[in-house]
Amino acid sequence: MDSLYLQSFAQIDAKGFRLNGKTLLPYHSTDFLKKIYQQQKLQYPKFHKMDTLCQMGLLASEIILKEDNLIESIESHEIALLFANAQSSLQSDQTHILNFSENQASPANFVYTLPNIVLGEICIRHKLYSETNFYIFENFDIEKLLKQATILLSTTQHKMCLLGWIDSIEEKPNCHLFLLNKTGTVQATKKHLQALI
Amino acid sequence: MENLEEKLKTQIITQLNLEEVGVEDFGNDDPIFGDGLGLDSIDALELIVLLEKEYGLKVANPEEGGKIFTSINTMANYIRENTK
Repeated sequence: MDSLYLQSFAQIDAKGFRLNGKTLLPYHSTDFLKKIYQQQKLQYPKFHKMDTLCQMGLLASEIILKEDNLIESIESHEIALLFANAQSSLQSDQTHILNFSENQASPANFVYTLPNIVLGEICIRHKLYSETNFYIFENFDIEKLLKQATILLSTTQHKMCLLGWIDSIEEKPNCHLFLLNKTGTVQATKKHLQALI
Repeated sequence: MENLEEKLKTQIITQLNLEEVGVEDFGNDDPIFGDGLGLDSIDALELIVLLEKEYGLKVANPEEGGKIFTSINTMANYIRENTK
């Protein structure tokens, strides 16, 4: 298999919350992720306990996987997740260090001091039992992730791959998730995905 | 003046980020774990932290925790008995 195809994509950043380029909610500087949660009428109380990374991942994956009831039509082991960022879980790490230095360490915060927890949260939410990888890159290395996705989809049981960059700097969201398929009409190239960011 | 049981409910909601739960949503004898509030093992640890932070009580024995955190009433009774 030489190519993968872009099925849909969701973004949460300073431009707002978008699905396939269409803005669903413009950016708010306060409680933006909570506003998306409310707008999407999600009923998942665990969301409020999550760190920013997990909240972004949950919201962006939710809108993609629920589009056209996709999540109902595929098997739990058919969607691989490949995420990356530059900051790892820095925000939760800093909170933990601060809490710890004040002798107020919080177990609920501590569990988010790994970046790949976001993958676990998405898998729990949608009951996925598929391949997941989280990479730390200096920048969004689309080419590397595309290569990995191509290998996964051509050599394993996976039919789709949710691939993307999910980062948060000073609590500003920067999340771009792309759902790639083995078949389709829009080829997922580095150039094309880069142009969408 | 707010009684201990009501104060505990507010503290639990804050400590556990139960944003979709109000103090009116759980009674003093309702089970804290199980179906009621949908809490997990991390929440149990947070409740231990809450007792230490707010009331200076250390729960050292895990088996003891099971009894203390049965309901708001059992928590309140434990606090009253150990902070006299």
